[in-house]
Amino acid sequence: MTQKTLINLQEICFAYNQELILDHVSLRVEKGDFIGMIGPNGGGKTTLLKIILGLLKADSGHAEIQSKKIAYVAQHAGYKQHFLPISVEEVLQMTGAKESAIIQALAITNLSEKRERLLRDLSVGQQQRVFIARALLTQAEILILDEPTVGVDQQAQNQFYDLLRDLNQNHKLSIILVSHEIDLIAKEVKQIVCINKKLIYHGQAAALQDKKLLQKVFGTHQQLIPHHQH
Amino acid sequence: MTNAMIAGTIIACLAPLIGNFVLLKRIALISDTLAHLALIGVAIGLITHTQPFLVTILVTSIAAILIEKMRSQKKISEDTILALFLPGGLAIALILVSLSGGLNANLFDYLFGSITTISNAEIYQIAILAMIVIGLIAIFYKQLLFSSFDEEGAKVAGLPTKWLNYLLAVLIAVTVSLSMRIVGVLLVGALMVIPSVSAMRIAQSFKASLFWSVIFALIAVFGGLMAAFYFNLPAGSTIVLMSLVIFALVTARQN
Repeated sequence: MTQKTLINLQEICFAYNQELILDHVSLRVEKGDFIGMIGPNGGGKTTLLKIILGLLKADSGHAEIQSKKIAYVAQHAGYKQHFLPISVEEVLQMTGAKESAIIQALAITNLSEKRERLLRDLSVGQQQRVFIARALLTQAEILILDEPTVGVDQQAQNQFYDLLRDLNQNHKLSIILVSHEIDLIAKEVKQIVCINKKLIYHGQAAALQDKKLLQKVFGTHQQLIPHHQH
Repeated sequence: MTNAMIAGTIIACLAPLIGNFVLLKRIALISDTLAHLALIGVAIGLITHTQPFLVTILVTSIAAILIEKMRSQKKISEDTILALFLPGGLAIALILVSLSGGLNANLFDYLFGSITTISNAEIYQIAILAMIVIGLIAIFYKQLLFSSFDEEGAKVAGLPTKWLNYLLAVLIAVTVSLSMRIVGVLLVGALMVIPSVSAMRIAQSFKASLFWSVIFALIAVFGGLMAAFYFNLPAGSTIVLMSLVIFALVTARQN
């Protein structure tokens, strides 16, 4: 059975201040994929995400996005709201979703009891779940997350990835996740995409066990540390 | 005094509503920048003997759209853009004022506010425009909230963020222009921002913040007008000082 291609990037190039950030990157994302994207700082991961999201335009190449229903959870999405009195339900209501859908999204993300709490009073992990609940309300087919578990403790991280697995397997949500936590990525996702200006690797997450691949991506010696040793 | 109370009530309901969105979008200094640019409109009005109030709305709206356009291009940071526009606007205004024959009482009314000299015609103008601004906020409330809170998320969700940003910019410009007769160009930002900051400290939702900011602004306007009347002080200053007292009380209560 052929899978539905949601994202088809061909030979994408992007430069900023005359520095090449993405160099002929091609990538296909199929329906149901759960992809972890890794690469060094300045390697072009966030730029690639923003091209997929339509927030940036590639200098050359072709970006074909089949699904218009993409949701984005930005890096530190909740951090910057520390001063503002926005409640969880207001974050969800701003999508214009119906009350029944809001109740369902809160239940899926295990936030029903936090509905009336202020976003600024929640932990970082809970804040990220609020943004995922908002993504669900936009009827997204693809969920894109940029460094979602930075500053999140171990237990909350586990709950977070449980939620992502549930959304991927039971709610048929395709997920692209950018992270620096290579060990977590290796453990939690099905596929990995390694980017360092060029596409270095796209395939099974098990390939992260290969030190040569990590060295090729990051340019220095990297070793995978089993997650439970943290 | 009746006109002052009516005008003060209208502006106390309007300015903090916009102020909440300004804080949400983290562009608190835009109100001060537009207020300084408003002086260009006042000066043109004085030179051409036209209604400064309407010219000011036009000038600040154009400036707000230009600021937003530069901001969206992301080639210069937001605070730098405002730092370019604020002295630039003031410089143009001062040249125009100089060409018009220098400072006069009319200009001082706009610089420092002159709520007690507001005419019936101005009350009608302020009321109609305030209703339009509040109506637009009500109609586009969810979209403006989403776009101000998380612009990238709103854009990805399919909202026309570019047009929503222009809409908010023009609403801020109109509010600044309406408020300047009350507290003056130099203090207009304070009336928009201070009650909103006070409200955000105690509110348990954005809607509650909107509510409390209007309450605080009303207390500040009425208290400020009373103080101005009994102690023969400039009303704009007493209104802003009253806002600061409320902020201090709210902060003290929290601590």
